[in-house]
Parts: sequence; structure tokens; C-alpha cells
Amino acid sequence: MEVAENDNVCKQSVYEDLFRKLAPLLRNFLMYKFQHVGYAEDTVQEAFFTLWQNCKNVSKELAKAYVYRVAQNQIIKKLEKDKVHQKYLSFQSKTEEEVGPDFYLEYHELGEKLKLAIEQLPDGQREVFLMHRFDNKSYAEIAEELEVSVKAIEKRMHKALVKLRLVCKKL
Amino acid sequence: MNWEQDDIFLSKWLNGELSEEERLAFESTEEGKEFIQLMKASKMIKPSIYDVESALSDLNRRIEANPKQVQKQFWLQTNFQLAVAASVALIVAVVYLFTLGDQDIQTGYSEQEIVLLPDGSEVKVNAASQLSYAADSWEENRSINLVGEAFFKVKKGSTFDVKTINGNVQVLGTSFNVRSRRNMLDVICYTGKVAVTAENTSKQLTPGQMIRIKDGEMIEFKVLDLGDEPTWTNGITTLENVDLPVVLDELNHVFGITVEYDGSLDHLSYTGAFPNQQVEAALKLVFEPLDIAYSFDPSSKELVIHGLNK
Repeated sequence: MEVAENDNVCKQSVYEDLFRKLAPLLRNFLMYKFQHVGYAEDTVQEAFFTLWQNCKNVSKELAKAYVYRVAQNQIIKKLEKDKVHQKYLSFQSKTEEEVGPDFYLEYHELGEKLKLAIEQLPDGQREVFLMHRFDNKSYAEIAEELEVSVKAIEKRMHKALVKLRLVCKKL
Repeated sequence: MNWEQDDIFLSKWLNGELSEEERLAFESTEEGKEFIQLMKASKMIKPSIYDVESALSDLNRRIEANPKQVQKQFWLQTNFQLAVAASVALIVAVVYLFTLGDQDIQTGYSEQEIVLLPDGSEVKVNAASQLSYAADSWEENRSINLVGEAFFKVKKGSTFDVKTINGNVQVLGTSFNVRSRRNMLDVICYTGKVAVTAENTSKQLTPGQMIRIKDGEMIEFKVLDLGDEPTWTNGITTLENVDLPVVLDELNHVFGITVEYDGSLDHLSYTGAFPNQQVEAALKLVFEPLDIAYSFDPSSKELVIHGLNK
């Protein structure tokens, strides 16, 4: 079904604005979920390329849902082809300059442990934890993107914290 | 302690949803202090940097190098049974005319699509599925990648391959249904002959035969009530002896509902059918025979599985 011209995403400026707004979040979303930064970034490019090819059929409101859906399908295909891929989350620790010397001294070590602990979380809990902490998304926003209920997100977040505490204690 | 009994306590705490009293009580405990430390430490980490502007200019270069090739014609499919056609939300037939390069067809929830391949073979793609093939080399290599479920009517000619993560299906000219969901592949042969291969095993099917590959094991079935096409092309989903997670997946694909479920009933298996247009009737048809207690909110499309009826 074609979408009316002033509502579709074929206009260069509309398309580019969408990319600037959605691409960083989609890239993080894929990275948290599938633990592979290279695939995540390639997939963002492919999903937006597909969006461009189908721009006549996609309205501005549905563009986000469209690229998220296309991207997840594509990244799953990639990962299936490459079954033994290395999980690679690509976190960075903040530097002393970014957080100040006192904070750095106090939390650097626990931060390093936390990085390892996050990688051990089950997929569902990890993505919720990271979307909430790093992308500052509300439970409702996360629920919408993952297509589950808010209650389910709250349960996952709770479980993630319980598990992170235990793992960090053991490390 | 509250955080051990209430399974969303820590989420409420993070969101500032606890009462002042509850919060202070929690934060003064040993564990509460540890959780505070943990949240502070999470400020030490950030995701690696992403350069959105350089990604956008890469993308623009790619777009310039690949002018749009896809020409599609859409029309509404009308030859389904009238009753179904009236209620199916959107069934769109897509014809890819003289297209080049890789074709990628995806259906969303509650959506079906008909794809005409370059040689005149026809594919009906069920909801939440994806089909891809190389149109420019189609004459030499009739090969399709499938995620999900589709029904194929293949014109006679060279070998025709359907590849899924659970195994491959190879035919000459025939009609057959492929459903590849989770760890399970179901292939039903309607006419002609179909060869199914997975890992070390291979099996030829004749009309009315069905094969299921699950966790590398092959099981053969006889389909008693075959018809010309699978029932889903007429708006009815039929499931034969499948595990509960597969049933929940199908409900999600067909109705676009979300499911809250703790995984405790994965061992249950279901045989039956439900209409693709009536969500509440479908839920009844699925869960009553299984004796499962559930609740469904039609406005938010949220299904909650509570467990077995006491």
C-alpha cells in the first residue's frame, strides 16, 4: 500500500532526520540484544537502505517500527550463518577526566566487575538493563520496543539487579 | 526483605516509586547499600562511540550507487473464500516484475503475502516470516531462504531449493508447505515429490506425507485431511502436536499479541486449529483443552499465562 506523498519517508530531509534520530538507538538496541557491535552497525545500514527502497510504502509514524523489525530479521539471519561468532559487547570505561578523580578511584574497580557481570546476564535481562541505564529509556518505552508488557520489563530489571549484585560479589 | 519477596521491588526503587519510608528502610540495609554502589558503578561504563554522521554519509553513498530497482505492483487478493477475504485484515499480492538483485520479502504480524517468482512459481508467505532469493540468477539457481512459514507451488524446471536453519527442502515441480519455527521444521508434500535434508538425514516425501525435524531427529506423519493447500492460506492455523512455546509464537504471529509467560509449561503439547480473525475464540480453543488459566486484555493485546487450572 502506498502512503500519501507528504506522509512517506522519501524526502531526503525527512529520511536523514529519521536516521539521525533512530540509528544510534537502533544500533545500541541491536548491540545489547545480540552482543556484536560490528553486526549491529552493519545491520543499521542495511535496515535503513531497505527503508529507502521502500520509502513510498512507509509512513513517518511507522518508520521506527519498520527499521526495528527489518533490522532484527536481518541480524538474526547473519548470526545464524555465523553460528560461532564471538560475543563482543564493546563497552568502554569512562576515564578519570570524565567522572572526576574521586569518583574514578571509588568506582573504577566495581565498574570493571560490572562489565563482566552484564555479559553474563540472560539476553532479556541484559537488554532491559542496558536500555534503561545507558539510553535512559523508561520501562514503558522499553516494553514497546521489545513488544512485551511493562510488568515483564520491571520483572526483568529486578532480576538483572539481583543477579548483577551476586556476580559482582563473586568476582 | 522486600526485595526478595516482591519481584519488581528493585525496578520500583530505581524508578523512585517506593514510598520515602520504604526507600529509607531498604537503603539502610547492607544489601541496599550494595545496590546503591552497583548503580553508581554503572555510571563508570558507557557503550562504545557511534559516529552517526559518518554512518549517514556511508549510507548516502550506497543509495547513490544503487538507484531504486524495485518496482512493485500491489493489488488485493480476491480469490480466497469470501468469508475469509472479508475479514482478513490485509492480504496483499505482490508481483516483482523484471526486478534485479536480491529480493527480500517480509510479512508482519497478521499479514500474509503472495509472491510470484520469476519463473511463474508461486509462494504464499504466512505471518511473521521472511523470504529471500537472488532474482538475477533465478534461471540458473532456483534457491530461496525461508525464515518462518510458506506454501510453495513450483513450476516444473530445474531443482528448486528452500533453505531454512533447520534443514533444506529440494523439489522439481510440486506444491508443499514449509514451516520453520524455533528448533522445528515441518514439511508437508501436497503434489509431486519433495526431498528434505537435515544434517545427516534425507527423506523423500510423496503427497499426503509430512516430515518433522526437531532437534536433529526426523519423525514421519501421514496427513489425513490434506486438501489442496494448507489451512492457513484460508485463515485457519492448524497445529499438530507442537510444544506450547511454538503455539504462543503462532498466536503472536497471527494476532500480534504480546505474551507474558514464565516458561514453566514448555512441556505441554497442543494439537488443534484456530481462526485467524477472532483472537478471543482462538485463545479459548487453544487454552481450554490444555487446561491453562490465562487472561487477555483486548485493548493492549496482552496475554498473561497464569499456569494450570487448579
